[in-house]
Amino acid sequence: MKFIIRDRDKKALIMLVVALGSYLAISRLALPAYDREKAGAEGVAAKEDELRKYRRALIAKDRYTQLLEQAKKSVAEAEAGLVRGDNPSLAQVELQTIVEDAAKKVNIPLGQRSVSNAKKKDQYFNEIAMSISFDSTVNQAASFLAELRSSPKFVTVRSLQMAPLQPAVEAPPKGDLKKTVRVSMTVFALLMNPTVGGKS
Amino acid sequence: MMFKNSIGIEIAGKDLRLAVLRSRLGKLRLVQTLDVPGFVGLAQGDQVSAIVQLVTRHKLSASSVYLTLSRDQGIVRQFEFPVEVLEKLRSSVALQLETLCPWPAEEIYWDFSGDSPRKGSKSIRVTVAIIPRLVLDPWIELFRLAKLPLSGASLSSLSIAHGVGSLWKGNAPTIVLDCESGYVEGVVVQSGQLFSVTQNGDEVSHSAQSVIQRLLALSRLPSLETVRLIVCGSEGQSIELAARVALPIENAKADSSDKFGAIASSLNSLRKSGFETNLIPSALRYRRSQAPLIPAYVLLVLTAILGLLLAMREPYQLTGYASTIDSEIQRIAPVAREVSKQQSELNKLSERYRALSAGFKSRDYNLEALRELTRTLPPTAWLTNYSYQDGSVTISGLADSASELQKLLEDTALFKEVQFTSSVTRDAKGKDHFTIKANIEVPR
Repeated sequence: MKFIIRDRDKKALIMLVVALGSYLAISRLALPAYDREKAGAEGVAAKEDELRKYRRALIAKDRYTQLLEQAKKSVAEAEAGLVRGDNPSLAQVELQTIVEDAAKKVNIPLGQRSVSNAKKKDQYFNEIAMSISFDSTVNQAASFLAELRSSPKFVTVRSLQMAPLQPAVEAPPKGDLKKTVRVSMTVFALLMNPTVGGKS
Repeated sequence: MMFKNSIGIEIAGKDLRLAVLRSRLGKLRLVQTLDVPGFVGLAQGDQVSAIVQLVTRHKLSASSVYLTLSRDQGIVRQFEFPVEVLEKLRSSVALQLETLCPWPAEEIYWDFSGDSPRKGSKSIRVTVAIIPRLVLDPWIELFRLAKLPLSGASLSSLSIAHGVGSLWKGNAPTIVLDCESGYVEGVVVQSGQLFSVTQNGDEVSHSAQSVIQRLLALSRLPSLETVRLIVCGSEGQSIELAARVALPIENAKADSSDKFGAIASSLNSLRKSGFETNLIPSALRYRRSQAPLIPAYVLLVLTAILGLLLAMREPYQLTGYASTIDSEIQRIAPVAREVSKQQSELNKLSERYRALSAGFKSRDYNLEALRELTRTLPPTAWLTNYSYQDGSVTISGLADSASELQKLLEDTALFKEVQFTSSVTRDAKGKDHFTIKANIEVPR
């Protein structure tokens, strides 16, 4: 059987090849390229936001540097009031020294005293307590409290009990009233939590 | 081509008839039909003028102009060849010309057409048309001078057969009578076969009857009843053989079949059939230059490109923009990361400082409390106990009036919520024994 290709068959074949070529060009090249462009374009808003954020950060760079310096300074100054917490024994000794120095300054002979171990106060600080008791005049006790407050390290009296040794209900008819009081107090000091990383 | 105008010109008898057909996406529309009566009798100059006037008056314009001359100007023959010679059909037909043609081969124009052989067919039918150059050349020149150059030419019987073949599909027999002054030409088309007869005579009706009888005999048709009969020509209206046949062409009126010769002529360049011939050699055929269309094509392509670019513009620009943003982000990212680190460090420091400040604010207020008690309590009041625990002060003692003490303490700026923790008792000396608890209001 003879195979004859007529003109119209040739035209149909050419059109078929052209259509196939067009289909392949569109489906394999044009549409994927368009999709790539489209996908690349869709992330622009997110990138703009990111750039805006970065630029804001860039503008704030100098201010942040200043603020950071200032914050470091403030924190360092504040932390100077803390008892050193590198070592629990050292902290106990330091608090004891502070209290004893203050007592010595106002001529108070300290009686019984005990220092507790450091306990966690919050995520940044531990605290250490020292219980003391002594007999003194009211003035001495007030001076002692004032000395503690003016101590370079931050110590605070969490509890205080003060009672006169000789209770009086009226002024004695002659002679002075003995104004000696028995004082019991618990003094607390803050120290850095070693797990936080110490001084910045 | 999707849109095409074709002018068909028929010169038959003494007249020139013209039809303009438009093909739009394969659909035919008859634009107009015109005629120039007595055209053949005019001098050549007048013929040119008549055509020029026609073209000018009716603004005729077409991509092809096809001329149909009467059958007796040339020769039309049909042959059957074995299907094996299909590829060498032209040379086979050329070999037959010598036996057909009374003129030397160099003095004629000829063309042929043939239907595609059916599957299993052993022969192919070919229709050959021959015309002496001496007949056709003057017409080619005349129409060239009239600014209506010819794209093709054919003989009337072939043109009519082509018209029938391209307008009506199927094998129904069709007889076309071209009734002109002085003669009637009849053509019968049936199953790809063509028979034509011409009868001279002034009695058109009589000639028509004679032609029909001969055509029925030639085509072996029993009667006119099964035949589509089309009557056309200048004298076609004078005979009443059958009702007019409506042409399957848009805008064709009932009497449009009178100009069937011109319409069939114009169909030569619009439709294909087994009778399609063009006697004008290809070198002499007028072809409308495509050059004027070049700007249109260029504009079309540019418009398409512009449309494509417009569609791609936004994504492309955004991609470029995204890449610019990316590079800018890359550029400032290290600094920004450093700032971010600083910010994070600052936040930590601030939090730490807040915690420190809160710790420092929790200092005791014993000194203030003692000072306030010393200042506030009356000399008649005696304290037997003072205790301080986490911001609250409890005092016990004796006074002339315990309630007065409560009021005095409440009025101070340091103490608040001053209340007795136990009942006040009065001793024998008239002194109130009291225990008062007060919270310390932390000064701001």
